[in-house]
Amino acid sequence: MKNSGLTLNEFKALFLAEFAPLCLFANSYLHDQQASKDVVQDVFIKVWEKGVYFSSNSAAKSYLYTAVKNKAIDTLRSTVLRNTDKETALEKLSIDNSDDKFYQEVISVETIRLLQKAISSLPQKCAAIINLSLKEYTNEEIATELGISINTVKTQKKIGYKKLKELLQWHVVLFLSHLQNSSYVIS
Amino acid sequence: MKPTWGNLLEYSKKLALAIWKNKKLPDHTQVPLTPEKIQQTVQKIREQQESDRIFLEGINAEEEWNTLYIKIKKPADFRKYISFAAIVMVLIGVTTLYVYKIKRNTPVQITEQITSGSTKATLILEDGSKVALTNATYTNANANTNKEGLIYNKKDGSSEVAYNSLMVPRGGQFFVELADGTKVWLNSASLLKYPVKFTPGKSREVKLVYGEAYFEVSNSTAHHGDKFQVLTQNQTVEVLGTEFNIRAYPEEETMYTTLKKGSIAISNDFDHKLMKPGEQAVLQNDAFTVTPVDVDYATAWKNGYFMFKNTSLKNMMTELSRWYDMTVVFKNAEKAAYHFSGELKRGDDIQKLLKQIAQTNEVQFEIKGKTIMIH
Repeated sequence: MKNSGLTLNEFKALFLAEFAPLCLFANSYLHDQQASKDVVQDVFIKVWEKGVYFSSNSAAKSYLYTAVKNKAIDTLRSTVLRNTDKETALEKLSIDNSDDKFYQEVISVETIRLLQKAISSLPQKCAAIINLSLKEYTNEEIATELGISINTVKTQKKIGYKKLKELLQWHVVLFLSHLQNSSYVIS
Repeated sequence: MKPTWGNLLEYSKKLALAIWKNKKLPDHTQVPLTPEKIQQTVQKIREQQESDRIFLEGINAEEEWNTLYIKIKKPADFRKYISFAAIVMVLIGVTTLYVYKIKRNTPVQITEQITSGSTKATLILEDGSKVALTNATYTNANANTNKEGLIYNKKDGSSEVAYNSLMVPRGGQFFVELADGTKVWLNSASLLKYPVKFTPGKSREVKLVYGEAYFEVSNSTAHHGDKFQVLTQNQTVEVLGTEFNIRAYPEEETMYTTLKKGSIAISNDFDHKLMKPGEQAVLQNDAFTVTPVDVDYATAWKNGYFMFKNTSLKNMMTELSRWYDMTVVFKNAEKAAYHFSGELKRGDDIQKLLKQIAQTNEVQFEIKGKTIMIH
């Protein structure tokens, strides 16, 4: 029986919030979606079985990203060992386990998950505008592409930006309600 | 210099804002990367953000949770006790497969003909014409299919609105997203009728003619305050941004409405109740009885499982026969009253499920074509 670590609800909330971004992160090492999902699932199972406890959002991410990276690297290494007689092994021989890559990928995933969360919460038209804007289309180009006025583009961009800022405020509050004074319902 | 994670996360937030607005990059002195590496990272983010977003959206965290949950739960205890009434309660473990023991000499005919259910439905348009929806793509003026199901264009309607119906046969299940963003999962043997567009100022009404559906209703505040109503044969459910399951199979003569999230008011000509999450309203003889239940049992089908809690074999087999589109015959009438608890996966072959049940040595199955006989 578990006597330490997160409650099932806390664990579930953590899983639901972090699973997809961690898969994206694992994918930057493995370049294989299924393998990435397997690695992240295994890490979460270990967290549960070992009764690991996180006192904050940052602590959780620090542990999880590190654990996923380690497991991904292990997976790559064992793949290489098994396939050294095949040509594809040459690509995998240079496994990048540097700190630089680690921090780069973490920043990349964390940034993109915020963008994705913000865009997916926007109505279709606004999302389409932001999507083109992120691809560095100018307002004129967006207006032409979507067949709308430049003023509409500007207004929608303002709305989208406001939404992003709102989301960033709440982003930290994902988790571990008993540490804060109020309780947040995580569903 | 080892960064604090607070710094990394803060930096990512600032970066998201800067990339969104296409503005100057934030100061990065708190982050342990050289300016060149930072530049490289930002470049990569710009190039990859769209495909990465698609990657993220392609992952269904709820489904993955279900997979994980099965792995971390303690394996089921196999407790068996027999009373005079011959009620047997067994926990079925989904991860183990036991060798099937044959008590009698009757051979079990393994057949290719019973298959587990799949995504399929018939779309019935306003003019009565029918379209078979499977995995192939379909588009019309108001909707199109994708890998999830049928998605309606998010447009408001005017006063005259056309109605469509989705008929899901036995052995099928389907997902539809209505024009207001409400999501509906339809179980086997179900028929849902709904308008192609919703008119602002009017309440949003759909009809579950029969069957079972799980609704995730788009909040009324996003729709000019227009409330959402689900009508069935005998009741009306009014909702305000919520998730719930309605089970209205005519042969059961009972309707079950289970609320997962939000709040709903349920009513008919004789009775009306207000429900809270975790409650189930049972309609029998025109009256509603509301009790707390474990919502997971009522909504497991939507997540790919059968979940049974002290369920009679008769009811279990009725449930299975809808999804597998087969007939069930009890050669030994006593066994219909045997009770079971546990979970089975809807994606599994019927033989596998039957083996799990037969493992108790209390029940034997014989399969002939699409009929299952229970001894």
